[in-house]
Amino acid sequence: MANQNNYDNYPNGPEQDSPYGFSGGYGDPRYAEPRREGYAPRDGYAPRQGYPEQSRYAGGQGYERDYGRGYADGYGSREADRRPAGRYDDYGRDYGRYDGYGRAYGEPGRGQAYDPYGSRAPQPSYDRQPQPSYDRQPQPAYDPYEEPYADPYAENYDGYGDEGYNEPEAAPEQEADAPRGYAFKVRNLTKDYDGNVVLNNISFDIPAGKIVGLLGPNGCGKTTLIKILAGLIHDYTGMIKIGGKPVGISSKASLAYLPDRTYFPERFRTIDCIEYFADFFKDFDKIKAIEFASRFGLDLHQRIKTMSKGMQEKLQLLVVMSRAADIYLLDEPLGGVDPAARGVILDIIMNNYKKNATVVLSTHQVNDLEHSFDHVLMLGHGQVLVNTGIETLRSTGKSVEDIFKEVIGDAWEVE
Amino acid sequence: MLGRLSKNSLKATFHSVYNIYIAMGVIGVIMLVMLLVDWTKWGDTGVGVGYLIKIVASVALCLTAGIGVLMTFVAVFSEFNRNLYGNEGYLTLSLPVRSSTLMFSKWLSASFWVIVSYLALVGCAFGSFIYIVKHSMNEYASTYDLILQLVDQLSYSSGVVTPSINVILNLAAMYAFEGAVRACVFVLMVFFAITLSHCRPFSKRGKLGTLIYFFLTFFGVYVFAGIITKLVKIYIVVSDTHYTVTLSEYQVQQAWKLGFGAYSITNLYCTVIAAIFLFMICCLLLDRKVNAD
Repeated sequence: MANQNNYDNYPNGPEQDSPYGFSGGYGDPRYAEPRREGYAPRDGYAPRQGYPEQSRYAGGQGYERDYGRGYADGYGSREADRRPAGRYDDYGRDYGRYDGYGRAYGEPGRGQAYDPYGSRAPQPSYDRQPQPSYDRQPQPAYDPYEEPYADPYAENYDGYGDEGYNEPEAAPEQEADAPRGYAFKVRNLTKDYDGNVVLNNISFDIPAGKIVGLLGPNGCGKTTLIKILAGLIHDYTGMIKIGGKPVGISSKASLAYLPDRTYFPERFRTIDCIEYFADFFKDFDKIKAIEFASRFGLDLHQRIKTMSKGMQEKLQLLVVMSRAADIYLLDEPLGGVDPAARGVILDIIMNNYKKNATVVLSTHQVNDLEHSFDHVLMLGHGQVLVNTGIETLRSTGKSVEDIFKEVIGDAWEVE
Repeated sequence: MLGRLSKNSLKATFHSVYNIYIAMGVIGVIMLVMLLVDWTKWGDTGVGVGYLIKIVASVALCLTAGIGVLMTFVAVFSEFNRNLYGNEGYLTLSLPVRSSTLMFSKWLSASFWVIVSYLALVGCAFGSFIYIVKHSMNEYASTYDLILQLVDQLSYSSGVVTPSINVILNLAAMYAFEGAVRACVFVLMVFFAITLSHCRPFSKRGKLGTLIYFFLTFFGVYVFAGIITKLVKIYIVVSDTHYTVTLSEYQVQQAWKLGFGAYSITNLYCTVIAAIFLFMICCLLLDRKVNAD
């Protein structure tokens, strides 16, 4: 039986040992946790066991190995038993914060635990009671108003459903161009190609103002995800918000997209590409683009069909990076570029994106880029395997590349 | 945005077809130069050679214009396909514009080029006919008389009064307008077929699927228009000075007897309605179903 070790905390059985006298039914305050589907881990909420637990849990496989010892919250694994595999992949760290205390969701009454499934009996007030020692290390009660646990999204997230993505509002004292709460909110995203599921009900958030590494093995859905975010793929299910807006004209206007192929017509000259972007994107800086072209050694009157693949990629990169977009989606910007040019391209990317913009870099070149990432999103098995800040990853003492190999290695395992 | 998109689409098609129009221009110039040459200086042989060159040039012009129409069709539809559903679609579909604006700009540009190619073909055919048969003002006048006599003969055999020249011109304008509208509708039908063939599950048949969907659409639209035309008959009676809409067939018969013309618009009207419907479906598919692959 999967997760049998999770009962280690209940030597006499969960019903007997439960201080609440019930075994996890709907009235059990342990399940006061509302099912925040796809609620992504966030910076500062480091997993207790480090990323591997999260990743395996997220991948929907092998978590008995890691969590069987006792999930961080003491009964999170019981909860996990009830969840479809892979559906709650980003919850890993969050359970340790909310469970068992109930009051986190007891608002506004605070004295009564929130029961998302409809209580069958009146709920006792647990929030002031001494906490049982389910956790090996008891957690402080979560208080959404308490500063140390301030959730960067809490002010924008209603916590209970898709409709709750309120627009993040900048505080009055906040700078106008300060990063907003999140760049992307993705919920229950599923995309398949003729029945071959590439993205399987994934949910995650990407904080705004970060350089995000989108990593994963070939065919894991990186490009599909980027194309969905860029508004190029429409036949998917799920909900996506980009800076609080659904994918559409406004999101496209604030998003600079670099695909993994040449998308300019062959008849275009360099100057035509620049003029084209100047025509359609208000945030495009034509002078900057011409300067970039000069720096890259591109002749303004050279036609694309006479350019090498590397030159075409440079041209596309320079027009994309000449935009002052809120979000840059760069799909394999270093693909097909010689090692000597990589440095120049990275330099162009890192030094020319708009201040406080979010940059999503999809790449296999983990080694080249890992020092640039603030945040990492790893995909595999159609799931989000890792979605965390770079500090969290580094706290494991391993490089991003090592972690990538380890996590992706799991993703390649044949079940 | 519509203007910028249209400009880009027009330029894209121009790059594909300008060669054929340059060829037509060169042939036209050669034909005009031939007019200036006095072939009689070389006797009967010279006159014979002159006529031969004129005939060859005229046929070449007509052929070029015909090829121009074909090339224009291929160019506008391949440009549409490439620009929306090929690699260029990665750029086009990521532009911050409405799908309807995008589709409308493509339709405007394609219709423009299709109409231009038709006009070029008609112009070349008519010009070549006159060029071969006659090449002096007096002879042009007698050609015109010949055409009028032909109309008289047709009118007499049909039992109607020969319409005046103004009525004939007005009717010709109506038919020209219908031709242009039908060309635009045709463009939309092809756009619809191409768009549908890029939506799952219709994409499985590839280019053959595009052809199948086009013929089904074409057939469907004209069957629909034909059925409605049988049920409801709307005419425009064309006189020297004005147009009158009528539902009465008796009025139409009387109009012909009085030297006016009449023109049925039901079929065209239904075709246009169907085309608008196709346009809306195209936009919906572009918004909801089409992926850049």
